[in-house]
Amino acid sequence: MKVLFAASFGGHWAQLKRLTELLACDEREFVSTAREQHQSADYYLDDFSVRELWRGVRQLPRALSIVRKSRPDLIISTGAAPGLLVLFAGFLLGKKTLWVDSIANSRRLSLSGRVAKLFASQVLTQWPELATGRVRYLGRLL
Amino acid sequence: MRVLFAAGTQFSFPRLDEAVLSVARERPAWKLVYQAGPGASLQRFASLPNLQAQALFNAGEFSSIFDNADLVVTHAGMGNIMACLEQGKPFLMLPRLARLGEHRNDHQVDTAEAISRIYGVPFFPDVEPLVEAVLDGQAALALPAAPAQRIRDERRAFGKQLNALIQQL
Repeated sequence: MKVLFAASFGGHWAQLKRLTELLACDEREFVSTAREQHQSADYYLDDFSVRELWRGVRQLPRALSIVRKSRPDLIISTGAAPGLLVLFAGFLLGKKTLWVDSIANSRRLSLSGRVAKLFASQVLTQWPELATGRVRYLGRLL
Repeated sequence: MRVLFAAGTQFSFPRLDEAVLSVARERPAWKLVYQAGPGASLQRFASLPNLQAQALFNAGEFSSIFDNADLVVTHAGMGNIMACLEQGKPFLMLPRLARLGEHRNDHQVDTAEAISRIYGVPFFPDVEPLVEAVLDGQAALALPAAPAQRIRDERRAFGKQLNALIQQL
């Protein structure tokens, strides 16, 4: 199985890297932001907030071409908005998608996570008290 | 003592600037490093010889600074928190507050409270008590024992469930 992992640089990326260590897959590729700060991803998007919708929409073609080029069986994101965009591109192209909400959201699912609920194959929270029918808790990184 | 202050990779954090400046003035013999965040104004740190401040360090530089630090003071971002807990590095948290325009919402306060509850790491709503805790280096270093085993157990269980889920998707 090939998995495309997507997260913006910083805490989301730190969680994504730890998540990859837990998963059994044959091949992995990475999408991130902040190319100047780290060179550990295969593809890059510009960072944006989920509230700046136009900056996301503008990068949708890039996200689509990343997913087409990578040809993953599954896309996993730990956030934030750029990860959501890659997940959405995957959804448009018929890929399986998994959103793992950041462990930083202990009281309420992130706004990006709530959007992911609309289309992702599965949405996970890292806090048991936030699990609902559509959002599952399967464990956490800390 | 070597202290790393980290405002994260997204925005500057003026209240943490104040904390860094206070500690730098009070402890000229300490070695301080400050990742001040994008958009931070760095001129005010230039005159302090015991302080190295930069908006962002690249990932490699940051991790060697991190490894060398005796104590980390963080904005309650997950990257720093996970690294500190995994490595048993003593740390203190100053979460960003939405009402001061420091973040979009108060999730860093929630994070700090949750981490404090689970792992016993102190967090501070205000700069002054944070500065006092840092200056009293002994107290800051006397934090709970490394929670590495607990983290390993959590992740092993999570990994098992995740792999099962992925097969079903």
